[in-house]
Amino acid sequence: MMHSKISRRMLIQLLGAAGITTPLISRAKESSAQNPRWLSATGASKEQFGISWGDKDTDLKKTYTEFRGHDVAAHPLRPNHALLFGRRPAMQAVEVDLNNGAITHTLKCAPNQHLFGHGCFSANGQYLFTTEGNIKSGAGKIAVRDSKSYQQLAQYCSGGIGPHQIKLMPDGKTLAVANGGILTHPNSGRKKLNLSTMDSCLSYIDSQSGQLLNSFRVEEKKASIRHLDIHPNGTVALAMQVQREACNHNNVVPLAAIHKPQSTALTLLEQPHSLITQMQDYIGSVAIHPELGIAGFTSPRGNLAAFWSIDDAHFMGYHHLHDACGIALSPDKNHFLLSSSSGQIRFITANTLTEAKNKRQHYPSTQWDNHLLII
Amino acid sequence: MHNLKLNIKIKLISLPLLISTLISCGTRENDAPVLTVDDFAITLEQTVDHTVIAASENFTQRSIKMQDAIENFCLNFDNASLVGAQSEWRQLNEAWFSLANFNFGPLNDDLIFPAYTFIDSLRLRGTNYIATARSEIQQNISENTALDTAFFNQQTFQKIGLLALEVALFETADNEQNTSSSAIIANFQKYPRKCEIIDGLSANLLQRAQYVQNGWKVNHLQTGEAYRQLLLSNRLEDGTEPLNRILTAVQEHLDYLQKRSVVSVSATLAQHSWQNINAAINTIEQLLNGSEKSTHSLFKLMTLATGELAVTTVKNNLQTAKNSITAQDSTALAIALSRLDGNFKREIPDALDVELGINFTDGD
Repeated sequence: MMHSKISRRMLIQLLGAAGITTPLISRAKESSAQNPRWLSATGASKEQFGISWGDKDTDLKKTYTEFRGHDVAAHPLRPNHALLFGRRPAMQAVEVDLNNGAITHTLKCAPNQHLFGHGCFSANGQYLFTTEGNIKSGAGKIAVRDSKSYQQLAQYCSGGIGPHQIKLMPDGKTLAVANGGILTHPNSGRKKLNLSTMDSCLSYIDSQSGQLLNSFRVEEKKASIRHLDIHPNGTVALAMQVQREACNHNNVVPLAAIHKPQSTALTLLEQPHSLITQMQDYIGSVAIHPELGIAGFTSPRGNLAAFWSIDDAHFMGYHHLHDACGIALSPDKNHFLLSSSSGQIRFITANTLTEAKNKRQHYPSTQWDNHLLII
Repeated sequence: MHNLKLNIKIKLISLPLLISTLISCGTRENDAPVLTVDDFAITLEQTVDHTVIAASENFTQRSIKMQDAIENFCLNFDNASLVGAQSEWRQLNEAWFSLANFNFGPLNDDLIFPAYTFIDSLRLRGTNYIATARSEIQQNISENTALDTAFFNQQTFQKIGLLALEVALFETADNEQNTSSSAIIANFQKYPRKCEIIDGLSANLLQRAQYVQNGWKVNHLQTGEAYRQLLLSNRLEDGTEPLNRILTAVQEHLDYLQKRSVVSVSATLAQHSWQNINAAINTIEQLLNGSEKSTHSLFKLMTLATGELAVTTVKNNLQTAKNSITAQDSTALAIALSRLDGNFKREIPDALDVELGINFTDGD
């Protein structure tokens, strides 16, 4: 893998044009509203790991990868292609042609780097940003890659340790990064190496320059910010996982937070305590409904999805689903879709937050992993 | 086809497909045991009926006896009746720790106001609300509010349940917090409303015990069906498989007992925490080994499926837990609970091929 073959100035110029949405992307969105497809990492063993996708009318398709995937991203410039990012700490991601299931590209990390399972594209689709870690220093990195060749063009600091989910802000320029704050090393797998000193934050990074614009933390030092979603108005919903074994107290720790544009602090979603307790210190995924201003969070350990208003942080409802983790909005925005490790897909009507039971899909032999993508 | 030695994992959930072809096959005396669909169904049913629902029924029965003992004490105000009431509280607490292994279904059917928190406020997050309970009792003694059913139904979970009853029965409601029987009796005689308080608290507990039992056996959440039926027929609303639900609940209880150091912080006035933990462990053992009435058990299923190793491991850890309880060694207990916790995450579900969920132990 080549490194920084492009100058910082050139990169800034190229990324400066990133706010343009191509007609290709618009067409793709129109077609998906007719018959949405669900995509997710699947499998519970090396032989079964892969990416699966399907819709209500067709059988599920699957491409095996031999590595456990985490998040999935639709390629904005290659219709019907998706990227599956390896689960942390991973060294690769694959691009899959959803027409025939072929792996069309394999993204490998630069030497001395590893992936954290997430990535996002620039607004014009020409660049891919992946959250990565430097194996020697442990520093969190954002790799900037060409979205066609996946060649690494530049590398930024993520603003913390253990960057996990990354998304592009509505300005098309700023990256929001959930820095989990937890140091891991490929040699020790998923072992957490710095629980006593962990430092998690939400950071905002200029995608053109790599400059750290701002960062925000929650009061509880052992709350690891892992996942996020972004409202078109710039409000960011954050999902956290508390490292209880490192806490010196038994208090209930809020697992979700909101950051509004211009706000100087994060707003915790603190109530109801009994629900947060049920979540067992773990939220796995988050999705925002832009029109209704609702953020949905999933807790596989609590076997539930919970919904809060991002306007005033009040609790709105919940739905029980065993080992639910994937959550995404349907293209027509009528439903939150939930996926579970027992192969369930459930539709939660966004207006009422009640389940549309007639829409249930179940793939008994499929284990949907943490994140769900609807295209 | 010959008998199938289940030295490989069998997917119990999809067992009907696999086993239906085997049921009609004949067996010989020396053949290895055969695992059938019926074995699994019977084991699950007996486990639920003989251990889980039995724990709920026992808690209800002990709640009734608690009420009777309180009524007797408040009629007599003597040492014998106080000791009787305190003894009933201890047995009720043991019954609770047995039932608390199964904190799902009717016991935990409301995310905001789950029944279990109103029985045992400690369970929610290991916070000891004894100061709140004391303050509430003193306040209720001094005020004129009617201490009727509605009053106790409206109380927050921190102010009622087993802890509040323990505070009322095992110490004086004043700044002295005297624990001698004579002082407690005198305290009740001085404040007649204190009898109304313990009567209301125990009635509230019985009400919740009956709610849980009714949910298990008659009508769960106005579905018109007993939770037992929904569970055994694998029709739980959230899609959880029945054995998965039971094993996860026990694992969570073991995790709670260990991480919240329950043996040190619960039943402190009654000095009964070791017996409570013992009750929980005995019930877990019965869950796995079956009751006297059981013809089938999870241990037998595990042995049939994967051999003796996993069962032996779990039995050893159960015995270690019991030994630590006998010795009242909290360090050894914590280790044993942790090991059993691990057994419920690995050995037991692995042997039964129960998938707890891919995010269960190691999320991201």
